[in-house]
Amino acid sequence: MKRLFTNLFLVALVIAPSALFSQNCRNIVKYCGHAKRDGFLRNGQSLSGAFAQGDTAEITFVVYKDMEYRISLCSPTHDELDGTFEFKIVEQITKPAWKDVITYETETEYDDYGEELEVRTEKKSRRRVYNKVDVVRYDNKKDEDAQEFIFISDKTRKLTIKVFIPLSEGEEEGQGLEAETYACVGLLIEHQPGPTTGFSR
Amino acid sequence: MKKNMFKWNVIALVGVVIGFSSCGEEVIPEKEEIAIEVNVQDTVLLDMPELDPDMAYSVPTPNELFAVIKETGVLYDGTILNAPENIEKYSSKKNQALNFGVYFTDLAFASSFSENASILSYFGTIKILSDDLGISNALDAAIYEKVEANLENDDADSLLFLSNDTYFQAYSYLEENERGSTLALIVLGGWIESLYIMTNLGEYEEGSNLIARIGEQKLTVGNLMGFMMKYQDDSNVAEVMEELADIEELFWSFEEEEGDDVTTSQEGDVYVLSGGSTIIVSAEQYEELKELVAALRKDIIEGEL
Repeated sequence: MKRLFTNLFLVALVIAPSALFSQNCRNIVKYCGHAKRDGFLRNGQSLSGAFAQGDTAEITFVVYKDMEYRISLCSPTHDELDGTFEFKIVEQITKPAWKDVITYETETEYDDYGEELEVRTEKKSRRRVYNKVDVVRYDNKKDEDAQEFIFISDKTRKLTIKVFIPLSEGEEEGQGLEAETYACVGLLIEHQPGPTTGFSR
Repeated sequence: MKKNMFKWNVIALVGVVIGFSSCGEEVIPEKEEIAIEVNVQDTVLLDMPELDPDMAYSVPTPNELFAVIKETGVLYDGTILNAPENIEKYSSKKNQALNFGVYFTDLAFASSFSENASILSYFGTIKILSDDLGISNALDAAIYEKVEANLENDDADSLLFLSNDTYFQAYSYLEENERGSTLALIVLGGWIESLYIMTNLGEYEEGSNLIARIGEQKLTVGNLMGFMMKYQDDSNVAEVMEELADIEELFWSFEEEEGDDVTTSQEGDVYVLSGGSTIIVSAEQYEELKELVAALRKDIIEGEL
């Protein structure tokens, strides 16, 4: 029994720092570089949180038609991570498609002697189906690891940002469960009315 | 005994592993097939999606929405907003939080249209409510002087910035001080007021920009519920989520019309996201939405929720 408590204590010891860390990360986004001089306003959809290094965090947000947005990331607790974030902007879209469906019908027929026979017939039909597919709209790895994404949209849409929180230099994945493997990360979303003609600023 | 200890060790270890893995993993694209009757060609009715408790959901700010609404060509109408005098009706923390959201939205609407008299009045109302809610420390102490100075100089851009920043500061403060349930009520009050304003700025006109913007709130309602879900252990939040259910279900009945293929292009340093489906709102759905929103909003501003 004593060992049980010792083990639970060890588990608590591992979890507690991350919980504490999580609290300290609140509103960390206020330390991320704000592009006020470019006319951007800080957006309430920005987020702060404690994330395990080596993991991927997901945040879904809504962007309005013809507004210009700037997305950037920062980690005031782990400066070495700044400039190394990997992120993708993904949109789930619904794609229509046709699907061949085969159904079987069973009919009762009678043979020459009046005996019941069950006849199974195959029936082919087409059904309209709608598949939800994740489309990657932007991947910073394909943009020289750019750490900000500025965009405008021709429609209001819901997007998901998938952020990979890299390991600090010298750390290896699966190294352990120490609190040091957590980093405070701020996802700053900014907005401003988009240009009415053309897209250059 | 040793065997039992081993069992507990395994349970503890599995708990740790599950706890950590829930922080997020590389996600495999989700695919779901929804069978639809034959001959339905261009529109699709999607089921209400299941909300992912591990996903973070964000809700757009009122300032952002009204910047978009202004572009639809609608005119400012101050008579539809919640009167500042109603503040006397809000004695409970729940009603104060809901109406903080309402008044902030009214401020955002007035700021977007540079309605100076209303801006000052709503800033004053927000100040009183922020004192009542214990969040006045979050706001810039000199904010009211700045507002007055900008009003004198007729600096619309700065006023818009101040209004946006006030919301951001209050939002951040509540988050930082673990007052998520108050924040959830503010966000909901603000969202309902936004819908109320939008549905009272014009009559239904098929395909109009205003109706399109209202229909697009279908995208926001899912995020709003996902955001509130985090705080639903609070009875006040759970109650207002229940009140919102009819509106949420109505939004999910809006059909989506397939559009062009999605593309991402680049113009200078700005990316352009194009294509995708459009949300369609019928006249009947619009009227029903208008009615449901007006009823819920009435309960909020009368302090009866």
